[in-house]
Amino acid sequence: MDTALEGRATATGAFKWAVAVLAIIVIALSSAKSKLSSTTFEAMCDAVMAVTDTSEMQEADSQMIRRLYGIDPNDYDGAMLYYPVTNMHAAELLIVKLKDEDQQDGVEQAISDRKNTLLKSFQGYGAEQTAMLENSITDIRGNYAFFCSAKDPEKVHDAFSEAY
Amino acid sequence: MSFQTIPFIFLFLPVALILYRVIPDKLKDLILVILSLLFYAWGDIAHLPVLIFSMAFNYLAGAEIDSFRRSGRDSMAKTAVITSTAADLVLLGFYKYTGFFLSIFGVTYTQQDMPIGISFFTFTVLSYIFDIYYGKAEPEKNIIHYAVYVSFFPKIISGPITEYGKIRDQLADHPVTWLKFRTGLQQFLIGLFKKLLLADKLGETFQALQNTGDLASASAWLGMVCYSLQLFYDFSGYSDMAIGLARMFGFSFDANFDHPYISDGVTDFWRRWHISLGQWFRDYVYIPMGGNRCSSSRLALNLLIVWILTGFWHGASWNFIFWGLYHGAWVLLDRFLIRRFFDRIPKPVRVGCTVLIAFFGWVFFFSPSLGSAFHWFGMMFGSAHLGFWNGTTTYYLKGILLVLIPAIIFCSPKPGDYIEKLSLRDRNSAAVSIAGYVFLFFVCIAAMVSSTYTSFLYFKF
Repeated sequence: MDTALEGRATATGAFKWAVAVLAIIVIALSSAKSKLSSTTFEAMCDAVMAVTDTSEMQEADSQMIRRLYGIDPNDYDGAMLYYPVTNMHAAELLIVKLKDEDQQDGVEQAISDRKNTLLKSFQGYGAEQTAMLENSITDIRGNYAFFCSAKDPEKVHDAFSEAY
Repeated sequence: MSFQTIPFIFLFLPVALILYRVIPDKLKDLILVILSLLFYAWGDIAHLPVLIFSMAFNYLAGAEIDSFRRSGRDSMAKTAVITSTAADLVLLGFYKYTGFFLSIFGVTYTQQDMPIGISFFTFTVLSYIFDIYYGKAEPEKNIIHYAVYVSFFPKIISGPITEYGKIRDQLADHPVTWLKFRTGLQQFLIGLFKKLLLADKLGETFQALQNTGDLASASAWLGMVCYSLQLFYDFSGYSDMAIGLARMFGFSFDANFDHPYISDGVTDFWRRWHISLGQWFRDYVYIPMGGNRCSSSRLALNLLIVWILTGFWHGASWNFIFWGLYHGAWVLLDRFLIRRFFDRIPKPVRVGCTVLIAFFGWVFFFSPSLGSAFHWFGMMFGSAHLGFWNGTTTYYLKGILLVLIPAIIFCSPKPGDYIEKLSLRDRNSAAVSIAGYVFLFFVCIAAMVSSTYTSFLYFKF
């Protein structure tokens, strides 16, 4: 047996595990910070739109986002809204990329208000729309806010989660 | 960054090629590493440290295993390879499988963002330490060559998964010749064509059908066919681009696809589909477990383990495990029961059956859950009560027919072989061939500019 070689192997092995420990520290620290998504707003919208049926929705401009949600798209890194083509529909999709996590509460409140408004407008006659809104998904996560009211909101939400 | 984007084709690639051309020979590989890390960082800068740590850890592991082997301490070498493999799999599992395993116990966990290409570069570094352990190759003394092996930008994100022992000689010497450059460029363009003009168009139709809700039988069949062809052209297109790019930098990688939809059996199909992954599992899982030099029951177990792992490699969900088992079951049936019967029937029937088995398997692949996969199968056989054919079927079939026909034709090697033979006939034919590739390039650029970006399907693995 070559003891010099064995000694080199042991030293290399120790160095290898030192690299592993350093990696664990760096990954743990970055994981704690990485609640924020690095996905660009455009990539997020593309991923979500790829699975969204927009036949009952139309894209909103900044003014419409302000009107329906009371938030100014200029205050965020990005905001996209698809809203119902007519007052008889309840399918809606909102994605907002926040500048920082401090904006979460404001957007969450805006989504909640909008949902309540829609629920009230269908109360009493729009059973299908009400059910759709009750099944809607709101997800405020790190630097993104997501709201989807659709026939299959889980699928759209899965695409959001995957792209996040 | 992806190959089929304007910044890659008009900025990164030309700059990389020019730099690589003008830089002194001894710095070429260093430039390749820098370019590769830049390419990776462009797509996923947050996880660049993960890639670098993985590279460093396994480089040291390779040196450790080799030193133990050469000093005659085989048991220590074995311990080193086992613990290093475990560390690599823990890293992969942390990013890819934590949420899945915790969900089994009812724990909700938001999965960390997965580093791009982690499944591919983890298998690449595992190949490095396994080949050293099994004595198939010496460890790489030149750390730059090693870094090129792991991080080389054409293959870092979605393969092909290159086995270290098979490519080691090329790491030290990979001259760029005019022939390599030309054929590499041609293959890159063919890959671009497959991705942008076939896969993405088929994907649009599939996506629209999937978003429609309940479908008539023929529409569900059309959706399955569109997705199956999309997946093939998407991934084989990516592989063509990766192999072509590698050739433009002097490397020769083996083909990753060999016309899988003309296979005449499931075993044959898996010799032609994602060849580099199949070879990896064969060389590092199947053969070390005993391969086919064992009893029939042990052989069946080995095959099932390999297929469950293959399914699980693709994703952390029951769908992929079921998909792996589905193919494992067909491979077992092919091997033990139906091969003798199968060989007696005409080849076109054998090919048809194999294609049907593969296409059915992709339903598990594209469905978000097992339940929705079976719902899709149900629709294919009329569970939606919308009849066999309706207006939706006609609408989508008409829309995709001009893409579907060439997509089916190019599943066979014959059109490609014929075009190549024609281009080699004389000087005029060669000129027409060059003009054809230039035309193809402009058509692809037009498609790239006019349509929204669609990521490669295999990026998520």
